[in-house]
Amino acid sequence: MTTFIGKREIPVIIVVILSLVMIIPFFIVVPALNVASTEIQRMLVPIAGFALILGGLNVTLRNAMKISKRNKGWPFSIVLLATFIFFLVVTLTPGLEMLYTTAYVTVLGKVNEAIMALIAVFMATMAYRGFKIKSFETCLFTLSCLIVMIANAPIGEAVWAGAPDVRNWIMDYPNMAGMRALNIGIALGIIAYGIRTMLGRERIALGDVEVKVKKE
Amino acid sequence: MNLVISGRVADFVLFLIFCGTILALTLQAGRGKRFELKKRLPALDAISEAIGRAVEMGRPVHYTPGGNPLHGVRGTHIQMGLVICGHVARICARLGAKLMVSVATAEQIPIAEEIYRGAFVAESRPEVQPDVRFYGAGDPSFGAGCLGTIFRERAAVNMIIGGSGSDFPIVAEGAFRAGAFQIGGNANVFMIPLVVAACDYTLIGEELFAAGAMLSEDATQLAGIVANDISKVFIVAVILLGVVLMTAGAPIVLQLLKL
Repeated sequence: MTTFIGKREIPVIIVVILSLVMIIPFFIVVPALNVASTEIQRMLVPIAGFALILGGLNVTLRNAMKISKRNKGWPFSIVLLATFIFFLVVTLTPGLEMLYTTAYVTVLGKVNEAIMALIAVFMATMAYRGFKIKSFETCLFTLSCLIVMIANAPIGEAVWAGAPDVRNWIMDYPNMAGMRALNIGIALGIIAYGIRTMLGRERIALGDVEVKVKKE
Repeated sequence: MNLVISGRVADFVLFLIFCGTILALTLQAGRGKRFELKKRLPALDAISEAIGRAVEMGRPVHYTPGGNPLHGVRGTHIQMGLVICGHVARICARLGAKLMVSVATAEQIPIAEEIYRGAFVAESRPEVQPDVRFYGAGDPSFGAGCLGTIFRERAAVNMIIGGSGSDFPIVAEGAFRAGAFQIGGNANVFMIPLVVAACDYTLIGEELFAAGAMLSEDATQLAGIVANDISKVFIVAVILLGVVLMTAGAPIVLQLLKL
């Protein structure tokens, strides 16, 4: 038995069985598989919980080691561990809901909002670089973007009454066609990746990193 | 009672055709048939060039598979990001570059560390400890963490290949301001314009899924890319046939697809 099923084959067999149990009920009416598929999806929650525990332990150990060895950036590890322990305690201790809400909404929420505000600036600077006309294609790209932006701006219709119609055409036809082409390619890519994993060919996905890399 | 769920008959047939094509070509490759790709993705060649540049500058390489979680539809993007991370780590190990990997969720830490360690061991550098950094699941924390790493460590190269959401503009634009050479990869159609605008080389859409197979140069994995191209030709043929028949007033293809 061990001759045929080795360390490498076991994860492949698990992947194949679970994948088939999940895929078949999507297309074919098999009541038993429907139940099994639902159960597997329910099982994902505790499995993810174990992965979270593993990750949490990893973070704690790594940062504790960093502090004990006084590695570069060790004071940040103290902040990380203190925050980690604080949130763990206020989440798990009954009666501390108010403290949790205060810490989460008024501190973390506001810090998150400040970081997300950066996106507005970064999007504008990225768009500025993207709109530089270097070729015929970038000229078309910039023109279509300008039309869509004018039509979306509150003042757009006053600037050019026809802008919303042109915007709708751009979004409904050329844009939609491009997005569908990309989505078809992505779907086929995911199917191929799934089959590669099921056949045991996608080695990194199965924890085997001994992959070939073309020698430079 | 119908065996196949109503409304999914056409989906099922198409799924079988695509899977059949991939399996048939993979089996052929397994029997020794070689599949040659006419075109190589420029972003893949740029990976080694970029790492070489980082070594010359004496600065590190920053890699992240993105801020999305490992599960769900976008989980496959993260998985591909981790697959490519293995190849990047091996090139870094071979060329002597310092690699920093940033991950967003706790369950990615052991996977990324194992990939990192395995790649360096495979290149006879077992003494290198995995430099995997965890910045938390959440676009603001992850984006800010990566941004801080890139600026503090003065990364020469930033690779953000995998599944990213709103963390992408923060990381990519920050890295641009830090003067890092950038390679981006994303299969999220709403993020692709940002990838193209921010990065020097890109892997967009299905290129992300083909990259792992191309880098491995494994015959059976390359067969999957060829099978994908055949499937796309088939899809284009069905679309053209549908357009012609629809224009002629016969919506047969549309009715078949609705079965």
